[in-house]
Amino acid sequence: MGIKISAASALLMNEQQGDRNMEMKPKELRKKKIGMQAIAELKAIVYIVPFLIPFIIFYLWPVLRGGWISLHVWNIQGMQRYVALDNYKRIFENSDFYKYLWNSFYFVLICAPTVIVLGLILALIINQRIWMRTLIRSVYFLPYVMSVSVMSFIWLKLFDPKNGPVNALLGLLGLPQDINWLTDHRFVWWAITIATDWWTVGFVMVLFLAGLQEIPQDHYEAATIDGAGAWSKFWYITLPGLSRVMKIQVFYQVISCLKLFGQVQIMTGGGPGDSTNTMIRYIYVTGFKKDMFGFASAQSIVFCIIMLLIAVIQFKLTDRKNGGE
Amino acid sequence: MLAKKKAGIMLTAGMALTLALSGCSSNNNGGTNEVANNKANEQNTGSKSSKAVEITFWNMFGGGEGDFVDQIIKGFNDSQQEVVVKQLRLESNEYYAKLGTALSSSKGPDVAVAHVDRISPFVKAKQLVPIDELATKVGFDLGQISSSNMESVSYDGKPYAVPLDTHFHMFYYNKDILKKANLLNADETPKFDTMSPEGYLNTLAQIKTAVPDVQAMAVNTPYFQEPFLNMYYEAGGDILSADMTKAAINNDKALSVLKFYDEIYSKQYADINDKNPWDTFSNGKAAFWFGGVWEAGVLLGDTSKHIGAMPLPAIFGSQTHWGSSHTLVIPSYVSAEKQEAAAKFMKYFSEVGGQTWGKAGHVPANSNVTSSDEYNKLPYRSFFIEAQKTVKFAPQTDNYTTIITTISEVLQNVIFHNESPEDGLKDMEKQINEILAN
Repeated sequence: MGIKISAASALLMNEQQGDRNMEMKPKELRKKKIGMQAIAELKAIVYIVPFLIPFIIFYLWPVLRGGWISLHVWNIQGMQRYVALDNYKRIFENSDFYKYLWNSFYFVLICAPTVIVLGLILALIINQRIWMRTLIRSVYFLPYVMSVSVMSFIWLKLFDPKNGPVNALLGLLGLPQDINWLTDHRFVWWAITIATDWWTVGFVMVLFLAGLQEIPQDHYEAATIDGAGAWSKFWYITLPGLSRVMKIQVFYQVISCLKLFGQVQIMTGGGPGDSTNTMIRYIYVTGFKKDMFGFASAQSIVFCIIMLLIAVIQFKLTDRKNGGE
Repeated sequence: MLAKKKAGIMLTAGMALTLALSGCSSNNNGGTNEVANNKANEQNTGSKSSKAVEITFWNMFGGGEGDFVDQIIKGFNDSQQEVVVKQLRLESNEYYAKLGTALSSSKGPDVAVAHVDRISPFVKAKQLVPIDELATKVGFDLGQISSSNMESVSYDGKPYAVPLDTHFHMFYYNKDILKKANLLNADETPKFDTMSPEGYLNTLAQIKTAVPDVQAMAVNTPYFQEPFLNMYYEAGGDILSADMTKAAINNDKALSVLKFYDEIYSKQYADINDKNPWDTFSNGKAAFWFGGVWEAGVLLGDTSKHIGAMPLPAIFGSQTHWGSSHTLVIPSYVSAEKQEAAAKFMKYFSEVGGQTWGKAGHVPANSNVTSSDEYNKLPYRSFFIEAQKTVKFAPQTDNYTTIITTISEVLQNVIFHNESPEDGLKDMEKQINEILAN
């Protein structure tokens, strides 16, 4: 990130240099300008190199190789034969693809809004000067430190229909029948959402907290003098003040929800049936369990393009809202 | 300004790409339910001389047999000074995803367990070493192992694995519950209605009426392909056609088996939401259980459980039932020194560990073990030897892993009513045919 910024500022510096050279003679000036530009460009590239090398090795090369594999029948014994775009054709002809793609998006629709709203509420509470603020903040952030497997196993036990604490609590509250959280179509997505929200809400909260602390206090003071209530302050000062953070949050949550894999793999195994099978798990099963790496690579590429499109659309939308700045 | 904006777009696009890509590549470790079970070994490591070769042993023995494997490993580590075995136990549903990855990336176990029906693609990809020369080197006579077991792991006349056992399912029953339901004979065997799907369901109905707070039968829902294949094979069904070129699973036999299980679930003889049916039965909360022989050590070893075993009853007509075999394999990337160490462990596992393995419930492949008095004195073992005669192994195809995964997935959809049994079978047939055509 920092490297990219320095590259951008190098470009900027280059522009300023150009302005200073305006007084020189045209021919001399052009020569000098080109020279300076080349050096600046070169510098910029050098600055980017530390990022570029790992990026090429760990991201670009695997994607290119994935693209190559996706054009073949490829299994544990290696490349079998070239099939051109057959794998891609098979993806779109298979109804499972659309089902699991929808599942991935469905999770975005239920998980991203809930976790953002919960995170915002928590941040607002903790931003008050309340007792044991640091402790409470740490407690909420703590689950985020866990790995997805640990978190999923905890919730697998919590949601156990017969011996799980969740049903025991609901029973105490008067619920007549045990809920089969992980094997009932009606509840399974909510179970995964609850687990994921619990896991990630701390991170969302911390980002909002940072955003809240950036909003100048005098805005609120001015609003108080003008007689604004708590709701108007929230609506006209806090929310707009958080818009930058909110943009990042939405962007990040959408992408990370689309990547859902660990929770369903451990808690439901994609079940009941294939009700919670997501795109990533579909790719995993196709490649690693069914030994069809060519087909799985094609699925990865398609899903990757879909995610990129979403990212671009999202960026365009939020960019426009901000007046194209 | 425009340049700045462009840079901004690039920056965001780059970030998006990074996020999206990690979506494609990361998180695969999410499914790991690895339980490193090294307690027994760690104690030994300290006392060993630094010269000892340390080898990693991968297995998926999460069922009742886990403790017995620990005993064998401890026994081996204690018996000599040259080799230390450390084990990594992986969750069985994901085992082959991990082993396959390890073998292709040349990083993983030095010796591993593999089912006989899964090794053929690994052998053909030259990812396993032949074990005949290694066996000779460490003085391990492969002639002890039954010839049919040996043939099943031989390719072009060379053995690529050491068969440990034959394993299959038995019919376990809880005597206390059956007594309450008045379904226990004087010789402590279950009293069945007529031996047919209807008759069996009647028996379950009687249990449910008499003892309503337990499951009449625990069904292995998480691994539903196993109870399905047992009954489907009993009915005379096959997964593939005789020439292995087409699926042969979409038929009335499979349909009747699926409807049979659906009735068991829908009439609540079994609880479809039970994620640990093996524990349910072991804890006395179910009357019947089609359980693996590998659970015998736990279920029959503790007589206070009042559990009995017999071969699977011929509900669908014949005694034919599902079976497989565990083998030990050595990956080709393992160094010569470690290969030899692994071969020593294989020898011990077969010759000495075989007795312990027999106690776990598997029918050992080492004929010296099965003919020993010690083995034959174990409870119900005559039934095991009898049941072993009617097992049906997986079809011999390189695509078995793909096929069985497909079958398991579709079956889950059928039992949870995401798909009708008819559509499910059609779907299975279509997918298997596609796999075979590729």
